[in-house]
Amino acid sequence: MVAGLVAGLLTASVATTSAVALVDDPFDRARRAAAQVSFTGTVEVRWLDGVTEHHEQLTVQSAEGSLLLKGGNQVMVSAKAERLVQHPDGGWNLLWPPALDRVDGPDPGLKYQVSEHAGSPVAGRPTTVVDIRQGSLLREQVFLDQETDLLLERRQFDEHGTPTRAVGFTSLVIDPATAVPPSPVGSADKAPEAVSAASLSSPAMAPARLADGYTRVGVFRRDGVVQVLYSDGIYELSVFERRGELDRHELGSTGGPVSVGKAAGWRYAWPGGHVVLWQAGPTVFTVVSDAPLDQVLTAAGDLPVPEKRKPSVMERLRSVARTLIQPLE
Amino acid sequence: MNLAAPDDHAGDSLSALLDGELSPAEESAVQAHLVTCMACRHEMETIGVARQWIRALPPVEPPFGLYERMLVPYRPGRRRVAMAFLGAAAAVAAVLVSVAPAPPPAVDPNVATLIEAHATSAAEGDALTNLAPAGVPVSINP
Amino acid sequence: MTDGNVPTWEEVARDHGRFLYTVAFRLTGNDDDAQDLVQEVLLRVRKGLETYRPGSLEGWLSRITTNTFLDEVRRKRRRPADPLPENPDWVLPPSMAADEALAGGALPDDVQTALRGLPADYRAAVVLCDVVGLPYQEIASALDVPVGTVRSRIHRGRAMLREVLA
Repeated sequence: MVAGLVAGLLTASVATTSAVALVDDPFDRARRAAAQVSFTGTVEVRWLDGVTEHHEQLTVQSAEGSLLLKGGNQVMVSAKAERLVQHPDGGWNLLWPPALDRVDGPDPGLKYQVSEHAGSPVAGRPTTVVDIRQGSLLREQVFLDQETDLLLERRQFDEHGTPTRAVGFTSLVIDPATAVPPSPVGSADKAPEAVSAASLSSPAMAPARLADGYTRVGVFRRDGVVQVLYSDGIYELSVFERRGELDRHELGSTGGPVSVGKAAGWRYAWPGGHVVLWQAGPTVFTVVSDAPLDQVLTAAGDLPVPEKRKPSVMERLRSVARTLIQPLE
Repeated sequence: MNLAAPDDHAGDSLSALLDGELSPAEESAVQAHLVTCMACRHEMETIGVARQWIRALPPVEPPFGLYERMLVPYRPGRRRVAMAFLGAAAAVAAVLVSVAPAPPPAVDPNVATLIEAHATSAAEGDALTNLAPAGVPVSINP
Repeated sequence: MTDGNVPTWEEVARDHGRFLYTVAFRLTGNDDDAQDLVQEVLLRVRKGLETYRPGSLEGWLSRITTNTFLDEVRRKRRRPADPLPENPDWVLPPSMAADEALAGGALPDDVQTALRGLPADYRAAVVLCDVVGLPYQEIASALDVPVGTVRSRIHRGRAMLREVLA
């Protein structure tokens, strides 16, 4: 999907900078607000899995740049921008250390057009809604609190206009006296470390760009797995490579088959987006993304196919020798 | 090539020899014959090559979803651990039975770990809506 | 598979799916027929599990697969071809070994084509011996013929294959 020309919704601009500069990036606004406003509340995550709609609630507590979410898992963003997750049966895991090396994504204005208008209330509060469009296609609606600019809800739509995902407050209490959630110390076993693309065993497998405006913003090694992270300015997409056989049980009973370029794969939804997996030779590719599915498939289909391994000369010689010797045994 | 072995040649016992299907006595007899018979040595080499080629054929991958389509509704097996929660570095245990020797290991770590890795890498957008989904435990086989 | 445990047919399909498909594909030579054969086999497995006595599961599965295959051949009945699926989702990615030559220079595809050229009875014997790895006695039980017949079918099958691929 080539980013369309700026829609007439925005005032015409001949500036060479992106069209988004004219309307403040809603996420920048929301981030600034969250740094200044302390609050507690309840958040609901809704997602469409095939035809089934799921929803889960979590409580949230935020003060002085620290954020704590409590659902089945607990998720923590510390003031140092670390991210930690705790599962019910275990301790905290540090999954994103402070100051990890990743570059900014591309300017979202290159691919998206942004406009805003008054929106319907969320958690009983009046909102401004920012529409994020790709050409004429509405991809997201971002509801900002009119009073504080806090992000109250995000809704994502597929290419047919069906809402597929939403995260939003069902109740919100703004309170300057909100306690700062204590920062846990997590195990760093699964924490990523940044590596250069050139240092990978097959750097060609981590291209700098994928179709549909996705630019590589980081390459990480976590617990032996390589993660290549891409961004289009609004959404992100991770490509993981694992050597081995795709276990059909990872495909689960939800989701369905899908073509990824020329490969046959499987896709399913998770609360925050989509997963697509396929086997290519000795490698399992897994793409996890918060982008709409059509974008995920376009970008994923642009990944290079691993080279077929040719047997080495010694292996060929050995095979031939075995063939000749065997009949005489 | 003459497939019908005349009485004084080894014939199909050459295949049996290659497959280890002869009794010790039969095997000695055939070996003794091979020492003197070039035609049978040649036939054995020929048959041996065909045998090797078939034995070297790789396993064939069924099309994706063939069994998922047949297994409706899907029920987790008795031996399978539900993937609802991650332990620390849990390895996926399933390996498909294959005809080839030493199949490659099942892929590890499992997908739920990767989903969480992505969610916590997110920087575009806002922290809350990026991370709230990570607060929902991933359940792949509900 | 736990010895002494009778598996459910879903477990058979899941845990031995690749093995079944490999045997079915080597016998039939193409994906459509292989899929049909596997589905038919699983139906028979489902019915047959009641009388299955734990032992060599793969031997048992191979016997069912081959018999089902030969039944099809003997009936000389071809299932009507399924209409081509609308979406290409089921297209297999190219196999790693598709253009890797086997020892001595025969390509797997060529070997498979040559296999398909063998008479069904010869093909069944050769597949049970060289793809499944069964001993002659089990092949004889599976095909319901004497061991001597097994030996000669295998031998002739191999010879014909070599002739075609010379």
